[in-house]
Amino acid sequence: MPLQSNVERLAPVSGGANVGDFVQLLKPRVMSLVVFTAITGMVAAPGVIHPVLGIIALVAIAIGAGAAGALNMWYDADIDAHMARTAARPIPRGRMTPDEALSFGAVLSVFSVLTLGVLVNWTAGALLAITIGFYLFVYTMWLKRRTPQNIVIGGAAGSFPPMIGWAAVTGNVSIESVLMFLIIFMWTPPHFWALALYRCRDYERVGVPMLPVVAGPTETRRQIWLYSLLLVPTAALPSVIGLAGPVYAVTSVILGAMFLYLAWKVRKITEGREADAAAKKLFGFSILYLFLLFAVMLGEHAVARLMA
Amino acid sequence: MASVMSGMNEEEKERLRRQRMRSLAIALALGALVALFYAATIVRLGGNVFNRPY
Repeated sequence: MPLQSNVERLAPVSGGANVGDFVQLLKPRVMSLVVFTAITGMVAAPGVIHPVLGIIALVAIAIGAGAAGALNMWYDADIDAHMARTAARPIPRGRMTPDEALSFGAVLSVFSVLTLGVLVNWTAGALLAITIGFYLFVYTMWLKRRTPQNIVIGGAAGSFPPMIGWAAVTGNVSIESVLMFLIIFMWTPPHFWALALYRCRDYERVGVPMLPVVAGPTETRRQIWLYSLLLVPTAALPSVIGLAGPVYAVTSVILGAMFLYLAWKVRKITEGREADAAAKKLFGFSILYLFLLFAVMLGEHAVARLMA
Repeated sequence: MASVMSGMNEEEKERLRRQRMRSLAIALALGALVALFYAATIVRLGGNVFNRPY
């Protein structure tokens, strides 16, 4: 059940926020991963984009992703206030009113989509609009507080950036960009559920039906394992379809084995501090895993371009 | 300006200072947007920038 907004109780004053608070609304850490995967999509795509247009595309994608983050913080301010990880965000801390975050997010969303559409191409612009809309309407408003499958489906929003980068160069969507989408899509559930396993109480308190809260930790561990089994072969596919080369093939296999080992430990160690430690380890490694996969893919394409 | 500021308490001064910084940030962002559109126009038009029939 959605919580009543308690933001008013904190009595934020309009105009009290500084520039840093608005930057925080853009979720800069998420933004950096978005930019990184979008660059990979752009470099891996066949064809060339003028560097100036490439930079404009990246800025628009980054701002669009940030705008989605701001809109998420506007809508979720009531629950953010009760969770350790999010209590220091600008709205729950009383630094700005929800309305300010809403206008900020809405204006940036419109500008980023229009900029990408007008200056680069409308396939990329439309994909960015879908990403923002999906994150706000489908994930934040509809699924997050209703179903334990929230992050599985909502994860699609985070999977779009390499596809947008690819579309910025080619003007279309192809099997390669769908595969990059799928890698992030399969990666999201084990990544997030590992976090949810040891942050379970936070989610329980605010009534967000994360899988460990609703189905219990045992079921969560089983599903982490199942998604990991799907993720690892998916992540190896780029080398098979020619999207990546031999270095990526070796990297994806080695990292995949490590991922499966850690996911297996999460499944087997279910009691005490060791269980939390195993989940934390998988969570930490999952970030490194995705980063390295995309970094190697990016590196391979960059080297190939330099040699050409 | 200084005489107006002297009548304010610290909290109000701080609020004004933040407001000024935000106005500045908005101005910079708008300036960047103009630069962005200018640069993209030049890149997209390429040599045709000099094609002026009139």
